[in-house]
This record gives sequence, structure tokens and C-alpha cells, in this order.
Amino acid sequence: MPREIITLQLGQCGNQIGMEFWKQLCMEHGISPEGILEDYATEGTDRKDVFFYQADDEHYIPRSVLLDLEPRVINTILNSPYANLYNPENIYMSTHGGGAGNNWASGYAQGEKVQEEVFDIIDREADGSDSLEGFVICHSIAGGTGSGMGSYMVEKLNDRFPKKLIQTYSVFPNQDEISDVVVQPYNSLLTLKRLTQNADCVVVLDNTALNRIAVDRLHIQNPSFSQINSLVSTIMSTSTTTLRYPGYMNNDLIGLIASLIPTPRLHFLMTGYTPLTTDQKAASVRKTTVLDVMRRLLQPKNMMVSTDRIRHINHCFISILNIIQGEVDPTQVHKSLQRIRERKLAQFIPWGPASIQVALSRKSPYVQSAHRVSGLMLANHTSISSLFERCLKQYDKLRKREAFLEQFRKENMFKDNLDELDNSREVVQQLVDEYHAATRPDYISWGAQEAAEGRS
Amino acid sequence: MSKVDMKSPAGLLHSLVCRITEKKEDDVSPQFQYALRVLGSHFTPSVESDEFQLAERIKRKLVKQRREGDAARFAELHRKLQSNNVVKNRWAILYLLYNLSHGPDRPGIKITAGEALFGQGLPTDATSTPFQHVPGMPGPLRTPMPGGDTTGSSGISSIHTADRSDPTPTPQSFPASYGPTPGITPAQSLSQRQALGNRLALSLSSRQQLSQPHLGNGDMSVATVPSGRATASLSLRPGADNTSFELSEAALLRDVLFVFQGINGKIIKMSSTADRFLIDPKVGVPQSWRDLLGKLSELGWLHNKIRKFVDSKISDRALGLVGQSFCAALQHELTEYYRLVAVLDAQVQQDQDLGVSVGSGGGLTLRRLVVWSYEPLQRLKTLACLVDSCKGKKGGALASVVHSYMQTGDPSLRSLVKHTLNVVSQPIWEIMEQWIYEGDLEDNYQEYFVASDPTVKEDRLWHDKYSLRKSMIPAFITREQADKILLIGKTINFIRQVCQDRSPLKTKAVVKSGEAEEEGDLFTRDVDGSLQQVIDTAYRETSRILLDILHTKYKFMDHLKAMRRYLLLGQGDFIRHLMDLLEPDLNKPASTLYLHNLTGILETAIRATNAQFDDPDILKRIDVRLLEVSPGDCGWDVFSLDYHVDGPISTVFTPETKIQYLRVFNFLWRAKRMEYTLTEIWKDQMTIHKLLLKTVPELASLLHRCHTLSSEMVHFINQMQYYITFEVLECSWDELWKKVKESPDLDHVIASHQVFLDAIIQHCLLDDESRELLTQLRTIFDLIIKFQSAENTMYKKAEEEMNLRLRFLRRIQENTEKGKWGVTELDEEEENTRMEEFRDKFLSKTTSQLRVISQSYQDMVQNFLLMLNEHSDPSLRFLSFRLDFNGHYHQREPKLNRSLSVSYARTRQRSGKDP
Repeated sequence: MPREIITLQLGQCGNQIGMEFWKQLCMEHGISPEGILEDYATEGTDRKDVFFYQADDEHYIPRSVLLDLEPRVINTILNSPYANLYNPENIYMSTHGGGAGNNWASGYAQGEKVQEEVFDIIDREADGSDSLEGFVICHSIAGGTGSGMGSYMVEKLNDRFPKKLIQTYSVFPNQDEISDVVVQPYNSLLTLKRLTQNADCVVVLDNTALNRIAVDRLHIQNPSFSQINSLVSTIMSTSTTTLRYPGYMNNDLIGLIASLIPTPRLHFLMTGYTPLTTDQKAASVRKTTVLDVMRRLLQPKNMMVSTDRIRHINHCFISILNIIQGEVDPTQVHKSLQRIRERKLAQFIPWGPASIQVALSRKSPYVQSAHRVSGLMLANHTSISSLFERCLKQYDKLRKREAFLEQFRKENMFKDNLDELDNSREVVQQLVDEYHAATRPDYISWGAQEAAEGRS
Repeated sequence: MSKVDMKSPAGLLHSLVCRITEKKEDDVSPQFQYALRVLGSHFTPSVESDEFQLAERIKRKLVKQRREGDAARFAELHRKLQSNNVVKNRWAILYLLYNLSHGPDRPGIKITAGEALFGQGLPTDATSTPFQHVPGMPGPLRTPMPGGDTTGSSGISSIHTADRSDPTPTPQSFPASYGPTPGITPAQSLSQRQALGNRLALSLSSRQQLSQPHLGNGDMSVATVPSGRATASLSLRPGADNTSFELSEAALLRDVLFVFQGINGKIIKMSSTADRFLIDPKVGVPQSWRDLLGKLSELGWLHNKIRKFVDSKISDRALGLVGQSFCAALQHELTEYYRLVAVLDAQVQQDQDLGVSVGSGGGLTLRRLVVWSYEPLQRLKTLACLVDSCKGKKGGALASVVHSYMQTGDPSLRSLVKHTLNVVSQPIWEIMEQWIYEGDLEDNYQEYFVASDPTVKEDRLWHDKYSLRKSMIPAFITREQADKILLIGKTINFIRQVCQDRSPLKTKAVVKSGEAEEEGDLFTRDVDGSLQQVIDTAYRETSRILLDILHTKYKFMDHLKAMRRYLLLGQGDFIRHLMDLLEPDLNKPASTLYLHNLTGILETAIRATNAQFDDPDILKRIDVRLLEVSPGDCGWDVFSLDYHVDGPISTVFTPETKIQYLRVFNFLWRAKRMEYTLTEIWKDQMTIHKLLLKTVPELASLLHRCHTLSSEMVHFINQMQYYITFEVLECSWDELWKKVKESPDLDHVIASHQVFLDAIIQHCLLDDESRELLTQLRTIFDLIIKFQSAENTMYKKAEEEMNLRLRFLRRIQENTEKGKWGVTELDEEEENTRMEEFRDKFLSKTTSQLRVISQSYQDMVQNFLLMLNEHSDPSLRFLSFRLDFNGHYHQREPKLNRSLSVSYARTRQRSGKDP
């Protein structure tokens, strides 16, 4: 089966959302927690092989590699009903089990140490696929393993599979609460550099926004991890529906993201999903038409990234892809687009053609939904830079005080100097600058200035 | 007249007159006098008083009326009467009764007739003739006679005169006027059921029949049996008046009867020059009679006309079944007519036999004949008209002509035409029954309105084999009905021959069960709408069977879906993988392609993707097809997928529609290739960007240009693709699916499919009107390819440069490790010049090259948008709306700005409801 995608889930967060993701996929494809196709799942029009492969027996096995430097989360998975779903050979837990201690440098270094074993797994998976499309990495950028080891993996994958796509689902830390991870700004910055330089596409999952959505939109007072994670898994599974239910368009990951990402660095996507429901509140009565869905998707409150409004910069959409599921009359799509354009509901870049792309996707016949129509938006919006600016700001605060750097200096990378940090900051700053530039019409000749500046 | 002895015959007569006229004794004297005069006149029996002959005649008459029982009874009674000598003048009684059987028996008629007679006849008689004594005619009062006789005979006389000169025999020929009399009803219904030709004869006989009870009872009138003499003289009276014409009229009558049969009479002969019957001018016939004869002879002329037609055509096989039916109908009418003539002839004969002179009693006169022949005349006239109009016509056309004569107000003529039409349309109905129930077309004479072309092969059976013969559609079948009938039989034949389904159709049973009343004839069905019902039921039933067969046995829907999945690229993963596998081959020149290689690749692609889950029957139909190679084509230009269809399915997916599919495929394939190419470009850009920028930073600006240009292209192609998906494929498909599901018959399916294809062709810029647009689009596509190759050259060069630089750096590193100087001055200079060269020559050259591509691309797109806006197809403006969603192009191009806003306003107008 061509165009396979291998999923890597790293660290506590990565494994948690990964688990939810696979749960969701199993449900949608009618695969039991043991990996056996359910009796009712006879309709063979879905493509299971993108994310699963079939073992010698009837088992469907996820093309998934589970990595963690501490055994806690993976053990939870192995004690869950889904224990037998995964290929046990694809699970790597660090032997000493001490974890990365929320330290990027530690995670990165340990990643380097275990790389051979990990790449054995990955190579085996890659060899097992006909024409590998790419990798999807689930991780958080704040902790130690997800960010540090994740960074290492991104770099290494890029080296070893230069022609394969790397897409990440990166969880950004919640800015609203004080994190217990004090070095979080360092971790984020260092990871962001790798995400900027080595990943092809980063789907930003902002914990700040996810929490806010859970509280405001789902009316959950203190959202739990699993509630947040179910939001994440919804997004992940929906963003892959066009790959799993092939239609006329958007049948491969590259086609999906190529249209969203105009220039290599502007590859941070935000997501929105509507209508959102949790299990308890499934019966919230709402009218859902294509126009409703598409309009709601453009509202900032439905975005899963919390961005700050910045006055002096006219942030705008670089590209939008709406994946609409459910009973959709195709003629409605055009009308909705027309309405959105008339009312100027979306502000687009001034330097090139841009529009809302709409993909209609089938829904899994095995999962009941309370809504007629639901939609996911994948958007490339310049305001995502505010997230990075926030990172930079927090980093600068810490860095100014030279705080908490001892842990970093323990590792080789930072033994001699902290150049890596400065370099990362530069890269992230450049990213922010490029996003800002993309709001202006002269972005078209942006590189020229940069090049000129670079030479001078 | 003073007192009359009530017991005397005169007294009895007087009271009889009073009774009949229902007047007071004193008021009836004129009538009484008249009656006396009549009775007193000296009748000599002109009828021979042969009792035996009369009895035989009565019996014959009864037998003729199919009252054999009565006849036997009569014979029995008569025998008894003969053996019993009580009654002397049996003959007179019988004769009276016999004559009575002719007379009208309604008291009303009798009376009014009597009155009219008395009223009319009396004054002249009264004035011209002295009351009591006509010389030579002894008054009956003086003649000693049995008392009862006189009154009896006077009664007869009044009846007879009434009958004879009753000016209203016409109503008698119209059965309706008999309505009030219950006794007539059987005769009436009889006459209605039988053809009208013998109505006159019947009305004659019915009178006889009516008098039968008297005869049968035969008792009550015995007391008042008139004297034979009186009766005889009575019946002779008018004859005595017209002695001079008696023979002439009888002869003329005979002649007329000949003429009625189209045979020349003695004095009335067919004149070929005048084309009519003429009376021999030399023979002295009064003018009034000549006129009458002229009228009567028309009947003969008409008869001849019809006869000639029938004789000439009845053996003519080319006339066809309908024509023959028509002849048969005519023949039937003629037979009826002959019956009439025979009756008339019998009447004449009888009159002669009885010695009843012409015009007396029940006998025939020319005038009476005119009246009686009035209706046959009308009928023959109508038939003659039919004959005229139907000449040279056959089949349904003939039926149409006959039908057009239905538009008459005369109920009797209408029923005549209706009868003829029924007969004429019978063969059509039979052919039709065969056709709509069995699908057989037994139409040896090309009379039916469905024509079959035996040369047509099975694959075109549905489209070409059967057609409507418009001229043969009977007027009482509408065009829609005819179309449906055609469709029904066609469907059956399709099921039988193409679908190879021989299972018996139960249409007939269904139709019959739905239709309780017994099978009427075609025309009656039409009138009460049951023809429509039959057609509708048969149509529904057969169409349902056919669609069932198509859907279940031949999986039509699956094929339709397969067409969409494979020829319209709906199975995205398969197409994508196919492109992956084919790419190396298709980049080669078209002439180097080998079909079997491609077929192998196709197989691989099917096996590797979700296509493998499709029905094997469908998969084996997918094939590769290479279009005609023109010089310079690469593989991409000629490659095409194909889908083999056969059997019934190919009736929907005809070779023509397949060509349309191929054109659409070609278009979609090109668009898809652009999508594919652009993702390749994008992927390369991503890789190169990561790879090159570290070592060759001066490329940044150039690469950025490439990125923005390619993102523009990606946007263009993607929007194009989205347009194709939503506005073209999805919408049309939705429509098609809905329509096919609702289709009542195969024709609807074919039509909806055609609409679907046409819509796609039109919206995919493949119709003639969009040719320029398509060319423009192709140029844009070419430019994308050009861009790709330019970029690839650039990458190659840049990679070379990168490697050189890397080697240089490595050398420095190596040298440094060896403890030498990193670079010699010479090396560094060399390196710098090379880099300089790369920067100045290559970079500037590539940049300008890229600028050219970028500029011309943007011009092209703007042109394309302009053309789209000017296109008449509104849905193409949707495309331009999509392509320029954020107004990027129309900011750059004022012209575009204007036309865009115009088209935008139009779009808004059309969508109407938009606030």
C-alpha cells in the first residue's frame, strides 16, 4: 500500500495523545482494541493501510513507534485494552527509565544515545512500507523527552530520510498557568528551532487554547488531560480523513500540506474544529450547515491556538483548508465561500492568491455523530507568530537572569557555550520576522532583502 | 245526420266513430259520413282470397322473425279454425289480422293518425262527393251486411289509411322514436345491436311482430271480423284512384331496387358520361317521380363506388391488415345494405303477390322508398367519403382517417364510423398487444407505428433499431402514448435480446389484473382512458423489470460508480499511485511506450490501492489506452484509462459517451498531473531549502521567488481542482445519482447520464465555446512544466556548487587537521572566482529566466481570468471567483477588476436570496 505514514510518539504527552489518536482511528476503521477487524466493519472503502498494516494473521497493527525515556505512560498503554494493538517491538523505553527530567538537553542527549535502537525500529517500519510518505511525530515542546528527544529525532529523520515528509503534532504549553517545568522556555525555544528547520509541517496544538476551549466552549471547569487529549485526537484523526477515505483530491499528505505551506518556513498550522462536543454534552442542539461550519471555523474562539491581537501588524490567513465531514450538499460549498468573501470574514495575504480550500470527506460509518456536518480547519495564519514571540519573551526573561542553565550545561551541547540557545533564538526570531513579513505585500521579494542583509 | 238506430250497423259505426275520435255524438257527423262513404264504396277485392296462401305467408313471416314456436301455434290454431265451421270468412279475418300486424298499434298514433286522416280527407271528400250516394257505389248501410262486419272493416280502414299515408314513417326508422312503447324495446335493442342497415327491415317486421299477440290470441277480434268483400274493396280503394300510374310505379320500384344494387334497371341506367344513374328520358315518367328517382339512384351510385373499392382492394395483399379490415367493414355494411334491399324487394314482391297495388296499404311507393332509404343513403354517403379519403392509405394512417370522421354530430353516423373504426383498428390493436406484451412485431405490411430496422445489431438495439412511423400513428393515439408504446416493446426486446433474459414477463397478467373490465376494442379503450391505463401499466411493469435486470444482474450502478472512480479519477489513491508508478514511463516520448508495460503497471496500481476491493468484474474492465501519437508528444499526452463495457450496459455507455469520457479523462488527467508535478516541486523545494541554504545562502532570494511562484501555481491548480470537484463532478454526480434512482425507464437513465456527461464536458472547458480557454489553460500547464524543468536545472547547478563548496571546506578541514594551512592563496582565489561566477552568471541568469517565467505565468493567469469572466457559462465564473478569492489578481489588473465586479454582481443576482 503506497503513501504510508509512520507515527512516532514521544514522551508523556506524545504517548498520551498518540494513544487517543489510535483509539480514534481504531474506532473509525472498525478495528477492535486487539487489532482485529470488527464483524460490522465490512465496508472496504476506507484505507486502513495508511496508518495500519496487516500482520500475518488478521491483526491490524499501527505503523506506530512508541518512544519514551520513562516507562510510566507506556505502561499505562500496555495495561489498557489497547495493549495488544501495538507491535511490541515498536515500543522503546529507556532502560534506566529515569526520563529526561523535563530537560531538553537531557532528552536530546539520550536521544542521541539510543538512536541506533530507535532507528532500527524506524528503518524496519520504513522498509515494511511500499512507498513511505513520511513521519508524523506527536510530542510536546515543553517537557524533556518530547522536546529534547523529539528535536533529535526530527533532525535525524531529516538526515536519514531527506525526501520524506515530517509532520509534527506539537503541543505548546499552557501559558495561563504557571508551569512546574521552569526550563520550559528553553525547551520550547530549542525545539522550535528544530521544528522550523527540519520539519515540513507543524500542527500547533496550543494547550492554552485547548484549555480555554474546554472551559468556554465545552463548559468543563477543570479539564483533565484526557478531555484535552480527546480534543487533540479528534483533530488528528479528522486532519487525516482525506488520506484514509480517498476521494478526488487530497489523498496524500503532501498534497494536503503543499497547498497550505507556500514557503518552507511558514509551515506552522493552526487548527479549528466545530462543532465541539464532549460525551456528556452530546445533545447540544445546534444547526449545522456547511456555511455555519465554515463561518464558525473562522472565529478565533474556535481556534486551537491562542494568539494575541497585535495592533500594528495586520495578521492574515496565508491559506486555509477546511475538511468538511457529514451530509454535505456540494452546491452549498460554493454559496458558503461566496458569503464568506462578501462579508470579508477572512483576511488574506496581500502578496499572492489565497483562498479557502474545501475538502469534503466521508465520515466513518462506524462512529455515530450527533451532528450532521462537522468541520476541521487547517490554517496557516501569520498570527501564529505571536506564539513564538511569547516563547522568545519568556526565554529572554530567563536568559537575562541566566536562570536554570546548570542542567543544560551538564550536557555536551552546552558544555562549552550556550551558542545553541542563541542560535535557536535567532532562528525563531527569523521565523517571527518572516511571519510578519508575510503580512505585507513586499513579502514576495522578502528573500532578496534578507539575502542582501546577509551579504552586507 | 239525425237519429241513428244504435243497433243498426250505422248506429254501431256512429258509436265507433265517436269512440275513435273521442268526440260527442253530434260532433262526429262529418267523420261518420266519411266512414259511411268509405264503407259504402264498392270495393272489389283485388287480393285473391286464398286462405292457404295467406296462412303460409303469416307462418313465413313468423319464422322470419324467429318465432318458430308462434308459427307452429298459428298453424295449429288455423287448423282448428278450419275444422270448426263457426267462422265462415276465415280468409278475411286472417287477412285483417295479417294486415293489422303491419299497422302501428299505439293508440295515440292510431288516433292522431285517424284524426289527421279524417281532418284532412273529409272536407275534400265531403265537398266533392255527395254525402249519401256515390253513384255506382252502394252505400254500405243499404247493403245488408252482418252488423259487426261493417264496424270491423271501418276500423281496419282507418288503421290502414293511417298506416299508409302516415306522414311520419321516418321516426319509425329511428329506433329512438319507438322508445315510449314498451313492446318495441326488444326490437329496438336488436336493431341497435345489428348494423343499422337492416333497421328499416326490422321496423317493418317489428310491426308485424307487434301485431302477433293479436294473431296469437286470435280470439277477441273474431266477433268483429270484417267481411271479406268489404276488406278487399277497402284495400283497393287508393289503387283504383291511381290506375294510370300503377304499373309504372311498380316497374319503377323494381328498377329502383336494381339501381340500389348498382345494376341497371329497365329505364334507369348508369350513364358513364354523367357518372350517375339516369332515367330513360323517352319513358314518360312524371317530373316528381323523376326527382324522386334521381334521389334514389344516388344510393346506387354510392353503392357502386363502395363496391368497386371493396372489389378492387379485397384481394390486394399490399393493402395490409388494416386495409383489409376496412374492406371487411365495408363489405359488412354492404351486406346489411343488401339485406335492406332484399327486404324491400320482398316487400315489392309481396305487394305484387298480394296484388296490392303500389302505394296502397303497407306497400311501397317511391316516396316511401325515399324516406326509408334516407338513412341508408347517409350511411352509404359516409362510407363513400371514407372510401375516398382512405384511398391509398394504409395502416395507422387509414385508422386516423376513419377516426377523423368521428367528428360528426349525427349519432347514427357516429356509431357507424365507430363501428368501422373498431373493425379497422382491430389489427392495430392486435399488433400492439403482441408488441407490448411479447415485444413481437408482426407487422408484415408496415402498418404499425413502430418500425424495426433488422440491420441494426444488438449493441445499438436500444438506440437505433426501433423507431416511430409518425404517419402510421392513429389519430386517437397521442404522440406520448405512441412513444410509450414504442418504449414498452423496445424494452421487452432489449430484455430478451440484449439482456439475454428469457424469463416470462408477467406484464399481461399485471395489466389484466389491474383492469377488471373485459377487453374492449382499441378505440373504446382510448375513449374511456383505459388504453392509457394499459399502456401505463405495461410501461411501468416492463421498465421496472428492465431496470431490475440492469441493476441486479448487470450491476449498472456499480459500473456507473466505476466510471466515476476510474475514468473521472474519483479513486484518488489509485490515481495517485498510478501516477507514481507511471511517471518514469510517461516522461518518455510517446512513441517509446509499450502498452503491455503500462497494463502491467495498471495491474500493480490496482493491487496496491483500495481499487483492489472493487468487484473483479469491474477491475478487469479497466484498461490502458494510448491515444494517437503526434510528433513531440510525451507519454503524458497519450496515456488514457479505458473502461470496457459490453452487453446491456453498453447501451448507456455507448462508444460516443466513451469518447466523451475519454476527453474528460484527458482533461482531468492533465490537471491531476499538474497537481502531481506541483507537489513534486514543493517537495523538492522543501528538501533543497533545508539542504542548500546552509552552504549557499545567496540562493535564498532565488529560492524564495521559486517558492512564491510555485505557491501561486499550487493555488491555481488546487482551486481548479476544487472547482472540478465541487462545481462539476460532485454536483453533476449528485444530480445523476438522484435521477438514475428515480428513473422510470432506461431512456431516462440514458438521458440523465448524457446530461451528466454534457455538463461535465461543458464545465471542464471541453466544449467548443471554451476552446480558447482550454488553450490558455494548456499554456499555463506547459508553463508549470517549464518552471519545473527550469527549477530542476537550477537545483542541479546549485547542488554542484554546494558540493564544490563542501569539498573546499572539507579540504580546508583536512588540511587543518594535517597541520597545514587550510587553503593556499591560489585555492582561495579559485574558489572565490568560481563563487563569483556562480553568483554573477548563474544566479543572475536563472533569476532573470525565472522572472520571465513568473511574468508570463501571471499574464497567462490574468488572461485566463479575463476570458473566464467573459464566458457565457456562469459556472465558469465560479471558477474565476475561486481562482481570485482574495482579489490578488484583480488588484493587479484594472481590466479584470471591472469585469470581475460585473460578474460578481451577476452571480449575486442569480443567487438571489443573498442578503
